[in-house]
Amino acid sequence: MIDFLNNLDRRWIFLAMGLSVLIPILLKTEFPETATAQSQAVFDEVEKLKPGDKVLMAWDWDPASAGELEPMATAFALHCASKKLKLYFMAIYPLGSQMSENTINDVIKVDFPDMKYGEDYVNLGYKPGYEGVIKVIVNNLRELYPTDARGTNLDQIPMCRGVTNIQDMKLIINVSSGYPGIKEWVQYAATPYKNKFKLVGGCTGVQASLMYPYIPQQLAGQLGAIKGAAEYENLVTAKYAPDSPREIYKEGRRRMGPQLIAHMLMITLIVLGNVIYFVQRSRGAA
Amino acid sequence: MKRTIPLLITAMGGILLIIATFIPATKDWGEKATIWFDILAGIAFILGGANLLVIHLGKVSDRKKGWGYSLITLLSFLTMLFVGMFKIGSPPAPDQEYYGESFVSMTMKELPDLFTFSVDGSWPPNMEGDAELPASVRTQMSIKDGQMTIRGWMRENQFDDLIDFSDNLKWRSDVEKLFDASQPPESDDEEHLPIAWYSDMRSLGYKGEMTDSAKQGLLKVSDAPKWVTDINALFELTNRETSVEVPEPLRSYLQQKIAQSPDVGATGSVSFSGETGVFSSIGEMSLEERNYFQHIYPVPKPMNQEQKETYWNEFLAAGDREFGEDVKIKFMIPLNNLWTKEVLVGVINAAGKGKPKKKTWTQLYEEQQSGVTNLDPNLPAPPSIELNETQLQAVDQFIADQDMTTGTFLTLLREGGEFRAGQAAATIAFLDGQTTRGQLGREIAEMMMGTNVPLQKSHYDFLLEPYREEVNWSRIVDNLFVKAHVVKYPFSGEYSATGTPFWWIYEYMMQPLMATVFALLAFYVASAAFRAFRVKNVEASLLLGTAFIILLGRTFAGVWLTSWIDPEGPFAVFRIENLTVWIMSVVNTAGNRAILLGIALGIISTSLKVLLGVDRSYLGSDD
Repeated sequence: MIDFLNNLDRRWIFLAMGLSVLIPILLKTEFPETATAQSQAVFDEVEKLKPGDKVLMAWDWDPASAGELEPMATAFALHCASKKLKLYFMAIYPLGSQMSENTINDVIKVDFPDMKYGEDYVNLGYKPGYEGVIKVIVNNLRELYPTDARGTNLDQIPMCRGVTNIQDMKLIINVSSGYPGIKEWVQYAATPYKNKFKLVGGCTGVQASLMYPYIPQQLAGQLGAIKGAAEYENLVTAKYAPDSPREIYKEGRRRMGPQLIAHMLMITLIVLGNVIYFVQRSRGAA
Repeated sequence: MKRTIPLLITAMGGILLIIATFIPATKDWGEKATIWFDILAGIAFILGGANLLVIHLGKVSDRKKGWGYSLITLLSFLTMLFVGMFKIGSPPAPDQEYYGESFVSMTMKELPDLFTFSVDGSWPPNMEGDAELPASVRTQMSIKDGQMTIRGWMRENQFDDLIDFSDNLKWRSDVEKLFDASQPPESDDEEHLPIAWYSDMRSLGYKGEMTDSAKQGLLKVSDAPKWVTDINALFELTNRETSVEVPEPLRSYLQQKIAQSPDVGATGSVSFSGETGVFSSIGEMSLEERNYFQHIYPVPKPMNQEQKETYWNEFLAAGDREFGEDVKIKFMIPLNNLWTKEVLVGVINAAGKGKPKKKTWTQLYEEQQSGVTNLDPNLPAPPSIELNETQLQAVDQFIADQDMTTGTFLTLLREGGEFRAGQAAATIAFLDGQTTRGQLGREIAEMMMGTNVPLQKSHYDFLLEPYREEVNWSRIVDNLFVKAHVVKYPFSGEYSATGTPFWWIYEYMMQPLMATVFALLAFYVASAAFRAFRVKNVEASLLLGTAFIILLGRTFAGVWLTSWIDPEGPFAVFRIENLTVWIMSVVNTAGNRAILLGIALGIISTSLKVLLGVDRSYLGSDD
């Protein structure tokens, strides 16, 4: 048995991993989620805002990270739109602008048809320049964003008329999948201007552990990967779509099913690998 | 020199940013330097693209190993570049198309001098020389020597932008005077002509159909050949007839509607002829006209019990199947949810509440000058009115007659007593927002699909036929709208608009491929964990223990495994979800902070070496 496991073809492991993800998806397995302090902190920061407050939605992610980040982006949009906040979408990640459009199409256009482009939400689009973009727009938005993503002059967009820089925002929400992302927003926006606005974010699991040193002074709260998304989604839908939320507002919780089984498989594999290791070592010693 | 210049640029840029960070007075320098960095970052994308071409073209040309992949990369790159840059298949931006308006090109120089308007006025206090006028008027307005001057006619949005520019009352009063002075010439019926000049687009626009008298009036303004040509061209464009044919049975339906209510027949330049079945538009069709014609289907009125029973019996007669009481209850739900007389009367009465009109800015400024300190921006509100008995009877009549149109209903209300424009608008908005007859049928059909008794096709036809008719009619209106429209700015749309080739490639190739490649990680991590994660020493044991806690803590399994520990008790910290939080926020934070501080110190020393020219490795080798 040990020899069999030791020489196990890795394709069996691939198959096991595939099934551990596939089966919960097909069975639509869901588990209860309880909000941790981080998710609650993010939720509370958005809750503190009043209707009409300005929120910068910095969508710095791409389809590769959609598995982890899309549900939280959707939940952020649902939360902010339900509170009638003014939403300013932008991106310093090349495909971020497309992600903003996806969120607008999936959430705002479907569930908030009364929200008007240019009055209630705007997509400023993508700008190259990494953290350099943040450094400039934190003092002067029009230097780099004279127009929105559609090419309309910002002065002709009602909700942009009074906005000179991103210090006019009450809150910055960043969904980030890497560089440039949440760390750059902390370093170049939230830290030098910590009395002007708050920053909350959601990021991939890999990034999440790196952001803890900035919490809560520079980063008011963060959603770590799909677990954070599921918790936050639970809080948002419980308050703003309590009866029958659409499927996209349950996506975070649904993805926790495959995560649970996949994590259990990982633990099993690690334990098995070590059992083989110890048995072989004892055989070698004998 | 080849190395000195980049070295100097790096050193100067870096030192400038350091100075700008620590000395607030030099903040602008840092901003300028960062903007240059952003421009360079943009150029880097072009260089990156060129580099990709060179490398992969070389590989393909030399038939190096894997040249096929290079070819695919090249083709993908060029395809995306082509469809994105040239906006292939991208529809024009709706906000740039000025639907219902015909355009001819006209520069500021070509606009007759007669359309230059001036009033006495000056910059708001403390703004002269420091501020720019709002973008919407910047190119056509000037303020100097105590005069405010504008070329062309001031539009509503420009007026709003100028009012928002300063809250100084004198400024707002001057802007208001300039707005009044700079309105288009009047037509025979003393209405301003729907003509506009757009400085940004260097275009002269005219809404709807230009009458012959309007044309003659405009031609009198100037005899400059370009002006005469443009006005004639505008006349041609605004009088161009576009038509679509309406097939049966819609034609009969519309004929019937026109017979019942003449207000359905035509709005301005759009008309329908019941005899020929031709639906036509003179000039371009506006969005308002399109919406009006798409909503000519009457909304169902609230039904009494007898009417509901009749409708149910008609439904039963459409097929030969028996339905139980539970099905009938479901059938009745949408009928019971229709609007009520009380709601409609409430809406009309609410709109009849006296709302104070705003004083003009000039009135307010004059009051201020006369010494009034507590300025009230409102005029006294007119008295509120509510529907009288005759009008309430008209409401009853409207509800009882399923075929009475909104236009006829409004006429009855006006004839019955005082009825304000705001009340009429509220009535139209209320009825437009209600379920149409077609939508009602569809709602009932959807409701019936939730029952255990399947409907026959004839039942579905009975319920859905009105909806099909509405959809078909809506398409015909859309066809005419598109056919009558002359595209003004074909490249104004978004390159990634839904349905464009770029969108298709992104949505159905790039997005799934990126997600797939990223998802492969899970398989490799699982395999690597099985083969390589060994407890060989104490450090590895700690790592393994932590990994298990975190892996469990990020799922419901962690909560479930230690759910037997009292969450309020002294051992609550040993619940896995709490252990996870503790590890992340204490152990992980401490470790990360130490690493971050180390990195920061490293960055300082490396940056200084680069800025002072000690480390020149980033410039490449001397060769």
